Amino acid sequence: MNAGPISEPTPPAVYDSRVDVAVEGDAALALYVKHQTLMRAYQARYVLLPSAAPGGGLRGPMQRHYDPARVQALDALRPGLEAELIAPMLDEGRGSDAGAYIVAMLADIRGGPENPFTAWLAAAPHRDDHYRNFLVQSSPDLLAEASASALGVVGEFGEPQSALFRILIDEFGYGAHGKKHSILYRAAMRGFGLDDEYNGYWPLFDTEAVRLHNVIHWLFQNPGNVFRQIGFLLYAEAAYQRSTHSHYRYLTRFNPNVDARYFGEHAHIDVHHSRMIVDEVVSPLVTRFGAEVGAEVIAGAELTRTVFAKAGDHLLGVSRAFEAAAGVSWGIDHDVRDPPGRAVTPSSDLEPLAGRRVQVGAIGALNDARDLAAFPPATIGRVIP
Amino acid sequence: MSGAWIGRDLPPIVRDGVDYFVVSRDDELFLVPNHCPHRGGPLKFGYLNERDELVCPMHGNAFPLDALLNGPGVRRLRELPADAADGL
Repeated sequence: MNAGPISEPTPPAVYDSRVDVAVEGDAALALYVKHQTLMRAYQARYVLLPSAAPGGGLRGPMQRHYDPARVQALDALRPGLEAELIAPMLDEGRGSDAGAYIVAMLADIRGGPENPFTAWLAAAPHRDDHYRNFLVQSSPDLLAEASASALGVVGEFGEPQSALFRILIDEFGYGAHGKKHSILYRAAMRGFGLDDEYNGYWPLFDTEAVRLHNVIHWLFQNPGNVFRQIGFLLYAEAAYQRSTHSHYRYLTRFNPNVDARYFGEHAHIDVHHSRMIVDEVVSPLVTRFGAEVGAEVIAGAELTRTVFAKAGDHLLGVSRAFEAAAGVSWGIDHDVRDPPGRAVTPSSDLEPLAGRRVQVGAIGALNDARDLAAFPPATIGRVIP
Repeated sequence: MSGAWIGRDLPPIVRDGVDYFVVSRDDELFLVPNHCPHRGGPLKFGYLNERDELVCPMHGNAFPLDALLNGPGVRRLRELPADAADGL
């Protein structure tokens, strides 16, 4: 764990940029650490403030977090990590006819099955613990929602820029703080008894959750990706209206006292956003610049489809594995950041950890670390100190 | 399509704390609240489509002009002698 000088107190969550240490021979852990490092590089670019003044004052940890030398050191790692972790996922051979792609994509999303996670949860006895994990695994990006896509609006690129800006206005709640999507998400987290501080649960993030965060940030923190960014929005706005509707219905049914406005809002407004992206962004850009733009839009949309699917499959896989595990306790019964505990994966050498408890996301703890071996490969366990 | 137009380039018009914009239709002038019923978007910067609907610039919601001009909060402007204008 790269925690800085030992005398330093644990920084506020928003400035907690520690990363785990990879262990030789543990490829899954190495992959996680690389994604974690890339996440830290992206996070260093955002203005973040803790919800309350830290005990030792704000100035010290804030200046350490934004120290230009530190930010530059992280930036220097970015190109290599992005080339290794993200770029190979991009498939640019999926065609260039954006119009035909959109028709097929929308039909596929609208005709697809019910959200597999919420459908499974309906019959799960510990559904609140699994839902808590869903909220935590989705929080790396959603607790600063649209900050990434805000970067895609900076510049000067004609009428599509104005359409993207109007979408951004919605994401930021028209300037009404209580309507901002990240604030609505916080309310849902609090409804499940979770801390809503940005980065507050970073030790519990699985590799798939960090990968999803990093793909979104790779897209939007690189201006050369502008057409792939639009592809992301094209797929995300269409898919999100469907999935958030499922979550809204789920919460209304099983957790009627939880603030579900985040999901209800997306289920409504993303219908408009989806149309705006198609009619006011993709179509005019393809008309103006031709099929090569269509190819990049499709590549961005397909990349998004891939990482959404991986994250969704993984989330459900972890929940199923936890339900099948022999000895467990549910929920979080310790401070997850102080200390975070050693990170392990299903392929780590777990034998020496026999009998040690391991926290799995926000779902709960395995009584025996060796049981982690049955979990999906991208699962991160934390050995409880 | 009627000969309606929107006073999008006119200065802001505020009465009793409400922001209005001017709509002209059939040689009549109306003050319409500059607030989309959907999400509060600035209708003033929208446009009239071929179906005589006012389209909000925020999300593209379209409102029939007939319904909008007969909606709550709309003021019809009447032509008055210049010396009576102060009392409008």
